[in-house]
Amino acid sequence: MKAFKILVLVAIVLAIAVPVGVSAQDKQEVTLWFHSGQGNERDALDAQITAFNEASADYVITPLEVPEGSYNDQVKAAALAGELPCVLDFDGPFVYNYVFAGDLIPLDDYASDDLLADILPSIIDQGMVDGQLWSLGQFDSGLAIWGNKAMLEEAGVRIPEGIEDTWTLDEFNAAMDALAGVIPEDGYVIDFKFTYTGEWYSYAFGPWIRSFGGDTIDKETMDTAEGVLNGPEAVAFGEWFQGLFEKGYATATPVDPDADFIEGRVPLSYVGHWMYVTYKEAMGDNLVLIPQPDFGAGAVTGMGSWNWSITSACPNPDGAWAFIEHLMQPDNMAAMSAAGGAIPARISVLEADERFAEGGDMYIYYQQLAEGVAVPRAATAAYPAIQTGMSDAINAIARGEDVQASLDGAVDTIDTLIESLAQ
Amino acid sequence: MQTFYYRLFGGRRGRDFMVAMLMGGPAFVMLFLFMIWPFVRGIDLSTTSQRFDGAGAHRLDPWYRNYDLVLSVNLIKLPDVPDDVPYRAPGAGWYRAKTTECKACEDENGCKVDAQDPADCLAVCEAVCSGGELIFRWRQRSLEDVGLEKWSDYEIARNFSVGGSEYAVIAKDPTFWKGLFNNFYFAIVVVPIQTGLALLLAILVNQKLPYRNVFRTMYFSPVVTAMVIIAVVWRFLYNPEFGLINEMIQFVTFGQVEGFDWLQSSKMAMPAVIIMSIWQGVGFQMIVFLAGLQDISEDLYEASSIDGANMVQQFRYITLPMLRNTMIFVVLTTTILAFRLFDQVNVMTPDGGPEESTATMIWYAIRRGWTQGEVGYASAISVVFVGIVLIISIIQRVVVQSESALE
Repeated sequence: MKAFKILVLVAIVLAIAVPVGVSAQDKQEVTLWFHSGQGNERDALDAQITAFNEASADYVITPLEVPEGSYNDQVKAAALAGELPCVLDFDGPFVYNYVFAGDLIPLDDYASDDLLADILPSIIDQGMVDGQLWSLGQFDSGLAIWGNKAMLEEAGVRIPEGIEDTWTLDEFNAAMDALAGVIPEDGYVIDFKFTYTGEWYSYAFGPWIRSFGGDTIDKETMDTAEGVLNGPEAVAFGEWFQGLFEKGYATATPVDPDADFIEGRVPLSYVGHWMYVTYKEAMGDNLVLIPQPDFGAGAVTGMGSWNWSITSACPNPDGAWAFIEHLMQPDNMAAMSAAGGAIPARISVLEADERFAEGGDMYIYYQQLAEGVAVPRAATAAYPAIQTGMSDAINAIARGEDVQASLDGAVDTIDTLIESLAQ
Repeated sequence: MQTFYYRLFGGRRGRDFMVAMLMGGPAFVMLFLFMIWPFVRGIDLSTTSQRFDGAGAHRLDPWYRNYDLVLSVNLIKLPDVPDDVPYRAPGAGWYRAKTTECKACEDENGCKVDAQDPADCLAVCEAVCSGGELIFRWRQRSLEDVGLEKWSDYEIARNFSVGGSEYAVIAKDPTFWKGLFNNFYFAIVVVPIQTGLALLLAILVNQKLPYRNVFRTMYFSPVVTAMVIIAVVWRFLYNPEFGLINEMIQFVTFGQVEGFDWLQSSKMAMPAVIIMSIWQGVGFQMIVFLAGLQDISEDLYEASSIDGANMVQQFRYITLPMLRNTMIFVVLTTTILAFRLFDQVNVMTPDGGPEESTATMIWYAIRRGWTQGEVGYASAISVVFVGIVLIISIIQRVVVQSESALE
């Protein structure tokens, strides 16, 4: 009797569960993972997925939102378990890692020449590995220094018009000294977003090390960071950077740096485009963008952002591509840029947007990307170690530890992974 | 055959066996799925170059290569400190870290330490700079210069001076040994303090005080709060500029003590983690002790007070001996929990703290296996970690047993 009851129960459960599974099979299912970044961008993507699902006769996108903090780790775990979705988004430099592991398929056969010709060269560079295109992004990132116009003017600091007349190292230092005179008592001069963890430090400070003449890895051999990340140029950067903390111009232990900048406790904020919408809403015309300074070896900035790829585990790559193509439509791209402040990947969209036109709020981002100031992060499968090594070293330097020893430590972290990859 | 099944499932004994299996079954299955199987799999993975993304995994040659990297350690004498220690780091060898005053001196006098400036300017700088910390720079490619080339696979984990000579613990993987050291440091401080404090609190809340349940709840509430949340809150409390703890130190000492760079200095980071961990964990041990205390019969205390024993004597000759088993349980669990240290250091010092002063073995296994994707290597670390905890537990058990044999 008991067994009968259990059987009935099982039958009921099956009866409820199975038809749901079947009804979704009318259209082919395309699974998708994306990082839950900013709320605005997430809402924009949700709207684009809904629009695609309504319009498409053949495919239905099933999205899964994964928290950003551990996103790359989760993707790695899914790759190992063979559980990757069809369409995947990931942060730029990880493309080498995924291609190396055989997780992706190239997009060359799918993307039309018209589309590729309209895309920012930096996006193509980022997605190219071994002469093939593996990923496309809806947008690229912009990295420069946001400034509080009123405070800069009060301190008599020159605001550069564009990348041609950007600050030199001496000018940057002079600006620091001058701004120190106008900040409130509980303020500081420049916010470096030390509340961020992980990737931020190699993305933001790798370019500054390059601008000093060093680098994060030997770009010729790609098999060591020795002598590059701990060479005299990188050490010069480290000692200068440490000086900013010793003089009290920057803090390694901020509590709420976004509010510090918005509320006028700190006149400069070194952060990417993703803060544009928030800053602009709060500060309006008092917000200015200062291009990356030239610390000696030319101005350098970071680039690359979240990308879309099709995984090799995907049963219907045509459906996956249909969705990526949908994302790359000018309207969708413009909507995404409006939501997050990112730089649209298509030149036609970019040029139609007044924020990126000369004199616009983010013209400098466009200039930096178009004129070669932006360089991609190191194209190596050892990128995860560059990320950890840089994060450790920059934090250690900011805390006041010995610069040479901190950078040596980062080199050891990177070279250990390179050796283990070669095993 | 029939008799066999009959014996197994029939009869009184068989039924007992069945009941035992039914009751214990889920626990056995869980134990196998989440403890034994992962451990066996871990041993297997630790001999491979398995990566998280699955690329290029193969058996290592020799198979113990990961263990060799984890466990190779040595103590060597470093070259003597030269009379003139340079301020700019050489390829390998001694140099002096520049202090803040030293850098200020460089700026004001316009003389870089390696510049060909007038001698008196340099002399001024060097007098100011000589306070900097001595650091031995260890780079593989330059070890030949200092006669240490046979240790080229090694790196310094920690150096110290004894009787004017400089020694160094060198290891193929110094971070693992730093983690091991930090784990022991943490356990050696936390286990006695936390146990003692828990006993004290248990005795306190066991008194017939008014509102004692309020106190019990207060002491226990951190235990039921998620460690990650507590760690985030304490990171703010420890903030050197705005944190409540430094503010309180300044207030109590009338501004005589400025407070500390808690999580930003290599000396204070681990103590900061220890204080917070004891505060968080002490309630659990307190409850265990409280249960033990309430198990002690009132008759014993009454009888002893008739005999004229005072409070201290009662504590020494009744409370402590009666709490013996509770004490063993508390010390064993606290030790194991102490070695499992991860959550709070990962939230409060995600990079392992200043000079890796809060790096622990588990933190390191997760960094290598999860963040950097080296699953094979992380498995080797984990297997070694399990071995170390096992040895400590066995030693504790042997000590406890030999003590009971004495009584």
